[in-house]
Amino acid sequence: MTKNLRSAFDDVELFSRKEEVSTILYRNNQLKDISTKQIQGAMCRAIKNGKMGTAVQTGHLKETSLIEDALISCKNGETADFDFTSNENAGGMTDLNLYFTETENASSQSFIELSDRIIDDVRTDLNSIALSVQITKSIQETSLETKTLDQRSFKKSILNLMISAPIAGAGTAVYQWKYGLKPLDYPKQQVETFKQWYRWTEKTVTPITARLPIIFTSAASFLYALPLGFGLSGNALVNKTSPMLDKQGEKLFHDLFTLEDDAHSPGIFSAPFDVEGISTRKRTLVKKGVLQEYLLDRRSAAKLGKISTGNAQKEALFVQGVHVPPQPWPSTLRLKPGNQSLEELIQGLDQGILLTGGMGFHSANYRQGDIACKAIGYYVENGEVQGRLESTMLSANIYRDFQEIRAVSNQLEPSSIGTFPDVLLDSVQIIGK
Amino acid sequence: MLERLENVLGGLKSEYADLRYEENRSVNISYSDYDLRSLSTPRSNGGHLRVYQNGGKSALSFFDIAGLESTADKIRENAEIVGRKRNSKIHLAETEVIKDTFFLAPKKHPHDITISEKKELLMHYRDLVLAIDKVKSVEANYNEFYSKRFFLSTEGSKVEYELLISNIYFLIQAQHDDVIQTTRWSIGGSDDFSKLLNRDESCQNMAERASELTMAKPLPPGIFPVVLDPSEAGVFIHEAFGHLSEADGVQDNPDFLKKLQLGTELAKSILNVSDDGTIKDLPGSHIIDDEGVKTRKTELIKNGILSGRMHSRETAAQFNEPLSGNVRAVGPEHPPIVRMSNIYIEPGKSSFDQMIGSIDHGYYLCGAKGGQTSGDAFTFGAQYGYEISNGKLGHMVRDINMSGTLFETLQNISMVGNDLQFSEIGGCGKGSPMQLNRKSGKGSPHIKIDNVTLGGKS
Repeated sequence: MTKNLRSAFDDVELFSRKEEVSTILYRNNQLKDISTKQIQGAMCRAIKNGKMGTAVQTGHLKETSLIEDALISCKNGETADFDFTSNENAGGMTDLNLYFTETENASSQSFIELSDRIIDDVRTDLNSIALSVQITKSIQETSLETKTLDQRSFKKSILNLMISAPIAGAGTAVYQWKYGLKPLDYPKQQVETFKQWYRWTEKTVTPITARLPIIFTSAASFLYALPLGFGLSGNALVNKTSPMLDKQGEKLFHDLFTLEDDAHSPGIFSAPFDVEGISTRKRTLVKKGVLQEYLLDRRSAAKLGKISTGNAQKEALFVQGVHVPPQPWPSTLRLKPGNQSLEELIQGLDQGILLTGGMGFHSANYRQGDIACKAIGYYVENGEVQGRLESTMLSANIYRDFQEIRAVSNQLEPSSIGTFPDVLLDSVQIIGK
Repeated sequence: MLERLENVLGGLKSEYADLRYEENRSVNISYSDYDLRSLSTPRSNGGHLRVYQNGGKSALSFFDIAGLESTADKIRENAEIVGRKRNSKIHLAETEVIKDTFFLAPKKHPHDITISEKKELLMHYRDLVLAIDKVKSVEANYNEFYSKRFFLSTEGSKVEYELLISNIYFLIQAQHDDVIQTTRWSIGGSDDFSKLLNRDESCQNMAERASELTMAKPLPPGIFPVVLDPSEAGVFIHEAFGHLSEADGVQDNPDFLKKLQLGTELAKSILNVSDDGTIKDLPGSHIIDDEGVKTRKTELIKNGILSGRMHSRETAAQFNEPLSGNVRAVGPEHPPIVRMSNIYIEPGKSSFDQMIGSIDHGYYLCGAKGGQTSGDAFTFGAQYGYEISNGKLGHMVRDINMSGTLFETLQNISMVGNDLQFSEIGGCGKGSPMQLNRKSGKGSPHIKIDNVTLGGKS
């Protein structure tokens, strides 16, 4: 942070991120594109004469315009109810190793070879499939400093692999994905699961309209994890719209539901500090169904008379990037696994649904825990998958239906918001024929 | 700056390359009730280079021209690698070389309004909402996006053009006992700031709707005939059909390439659907797209028959169909992709009363609430609705979501109204990573669809 920026404001915070992203994309079994992105941006939050302001720049940083924009914002801003240095949580910052040189050095050619191998493997069994493979390498450098705190920064390498294929005769697709901070091994397990899920799509079933047992696979975990994120968010507490408001210590879910948020577990959003510079740590949010903790950033903490939990993020539903103002949101959720395998959960079902996704989640009243969407997955009868769901909708509410969990699987799989096992609920409303 | 960009293109020695450079400025003001969550004027400068070589393609997004200069040759090499690996080569349809400027002339330019005035306007509407009985909370947002763009190609095109859109978007939450319901109020959606002024009645109506919804009955799940209002029908045609009409969404899907041959009968002859970026003052209005092709009207369904498609130069060549000028990117970090401009169902002959009167037991669904599509499967919500019983509107219903498949649902459109209306605000998410495009419009008259699967509240 330069002297000019320091001296222009009473208090100031500068968050910046630089990222280079390389992507190899295959569509319909052919290499389609190699693309590169060189992204850089900064957000400056400042306080002048007791008023809070913000300036954002993406591209080459021009300090004079950053200061000018922040001054205009402060002039029109509201009274600052927090600053950028207080509210530091005790215990210091954990030194996380999130960057690996071998990941940065991994070449496009190695990704092409990996993609070719995956496509050969899948097409050996499923020769008419139109397979897509996308491998993305991202090298991120994040830094934050304030008027009084020294610059803190970290570097992270991320590799992300996604395999998908449209289902012939259906609108939906089958997906599998894997990510890591180090170079990825051949994704044998994901390829085998992908092949099995694809084979199950050959037959279709429209179940009868009824309440049925349902397995939320890890791939479908976002359907309940995102409403939970909203319910736990300090913003929803400040607005008094969270269904979990004033329920700390109360039992809201089944005993088998224990949820942690751990920014230190290696993942896409892992970080030693949040986007406001507060040290992160593992937090138990729900323990055996009992609500333990909320997710707070500096602003919501100040409004609630509490301290930040280090959960200020620039990634939330539909938005991400340097330009997004800090908001309380989970970093890397982890649902505690159980004892049975997914196969055992399926075998134990007389009749039920194996859910692998949902479409239109955001059109429902998800902030209140509702899940009302097109169900993507499979119908199970007598312990065996009968075929993929067709013309089927799902209507559930996490605050009601997650009180009756039959079992949780022993396998944690990555999802878009953390790592989750498969969860078997006693029953939810299915709308079929 | 332009000279440096032209030098990069000139030095590439590729079969084809183009470069889009953007200077963007936004205004974002956001309130959560009385709490000003954000007031900022973000700037974003950067560009996107595409290189085609040997039947392959590679691209670079850059925010620093020095980065472009040092990486451009590598991008050309990558395009060549892609070309060597492909059995079917990528080609581009021919287009007119354009050397021109296209500047906007809004009736009331948002840049002539101070930030303080924009903030006051937002606070005024927020206060109207918070004064309504049962309203618990409101998220009030003003968004303005201005983009000055330069497009250069190795074919000789050199275009300078502008994009501008301003809108107000409210998420209103009302509560009665344990029931919390949400409505959305959106106005603007064009370059004309005056569309945001004097809208008190519309604002209060939507807040009152949220309040009424807390007393409404949940919609029982099931399969019913429905009438969609123009806002909801616009989302339906956007989600269910529009995305499958974007050629890049089906170009690598052999199943849909077979199902969506031009000339295929998709619906009853009463259905006509078009996309038209040339209509003025709508969210998706524009003059030229982000690969230098002028926008035009494209008839997508004519008398129930699939008759056209939205294209990029790449997909137009692959399908051997005409260009449509539908390629756009929301920022320099994104590749240009095929996007709807203003998609709409053309007006039919039925009146609203005829549609309601034709239903013994069904629902009238109102107010777009977003949707999602994957292939021919779609789902979307409605903000509120009313029961239809014995041909008459009855009580209000809430918690509405519908889903279906395109081919079946299009055939089930049994009446098309004579009252075409365009939505003020559009918006569409597409791509990976997602490009959230505010310059996307939609419209429709009322329509009646038989046998729709509704997922209400169990």
